[in-house]
Amino acid sequence: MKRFLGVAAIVATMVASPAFAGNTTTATASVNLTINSAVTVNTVRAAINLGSIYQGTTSAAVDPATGGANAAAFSLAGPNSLPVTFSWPSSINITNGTTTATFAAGVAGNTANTQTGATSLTSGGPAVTTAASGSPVYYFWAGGTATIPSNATAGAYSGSVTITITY
Amino acid sequence: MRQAAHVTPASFFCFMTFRVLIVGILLLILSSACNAQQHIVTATATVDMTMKPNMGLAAARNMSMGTVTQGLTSIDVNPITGGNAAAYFAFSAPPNTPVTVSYAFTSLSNGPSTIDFNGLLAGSEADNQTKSSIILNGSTIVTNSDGGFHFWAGGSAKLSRSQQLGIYTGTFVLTITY
Repeated sequence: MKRFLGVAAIVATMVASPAFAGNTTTATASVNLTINSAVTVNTVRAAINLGSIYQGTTSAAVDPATGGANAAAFSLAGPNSLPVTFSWPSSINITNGTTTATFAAGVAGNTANTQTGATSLTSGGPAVTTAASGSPVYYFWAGGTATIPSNATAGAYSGSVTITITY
Repeated sequence: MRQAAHVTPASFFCFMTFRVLIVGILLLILSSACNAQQHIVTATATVDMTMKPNMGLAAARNMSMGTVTQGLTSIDVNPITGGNAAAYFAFSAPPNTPVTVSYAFTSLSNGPSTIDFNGLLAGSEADNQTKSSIILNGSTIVTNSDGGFHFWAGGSAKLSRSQQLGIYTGTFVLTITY
């Protein structure tokens, strides 16, 4: 008897379902997921400002740790106590369109937002460890030295250097 | 007597499953390790520098002795008090740079006739003509903290009473040597 009722219920459901098919509505919800990088870079000051120099000058430099506002400044947000490695090209070109000078970047970093206490970093390692707590977890500043041909022409020179952070 | 090992299909299946599991875990670890090295973010800094000409000298205003009536025998333009009648030169160089100043001038001519001209030069670190002082030919001056120096040129023209009419021109050449 029980078995008969079970079968009867299933059959009833199967028979009844088509009767409701014409009255169904559907709604579709998209499912969104954004995966952010575990470490993000915040640009505090984008420019390395070598200032104004006179023709005949063959070198201009900004120390990343002592260069103050002339150094570019960045901070890292991400996990605490994370080993990260910084790397950047050994040399880039800066040009006024006529003359090209070379620029060797230097980077200094600190777990605290204290530029003058930043430690000079080596491109490609060794890894530094982000702060044990808080956020941002690391601060770094970029400067460098331009080597200028003695016959360089006057004008505004510019270029860009990309620092890669690996974790 | 040692009993021969007996491998049942079930135990063989378990053994193979275990091996596959181990290999899978190893691959996962390896994959994670590989992925860990590929996580990068970048920061880009611009590098800016301005290179100024080592030395710049420009004649920003010519000297004008004006229009006079025939019969006058002397016309003067004081480089300090002569205002816009005096020529003006703007000089730029690296800050606090000592340079030697020399100048030369020609007589004034309208073609067939000439007028003797004697030039005078005044200069100042500040762009203030009335506060400038006379600079002798061959003197050394020092540019200001911005690398600038300012010159005003005047002079005296001696005419004859019967000086020929016309437009007289000459040149005053300022030379800076460093």
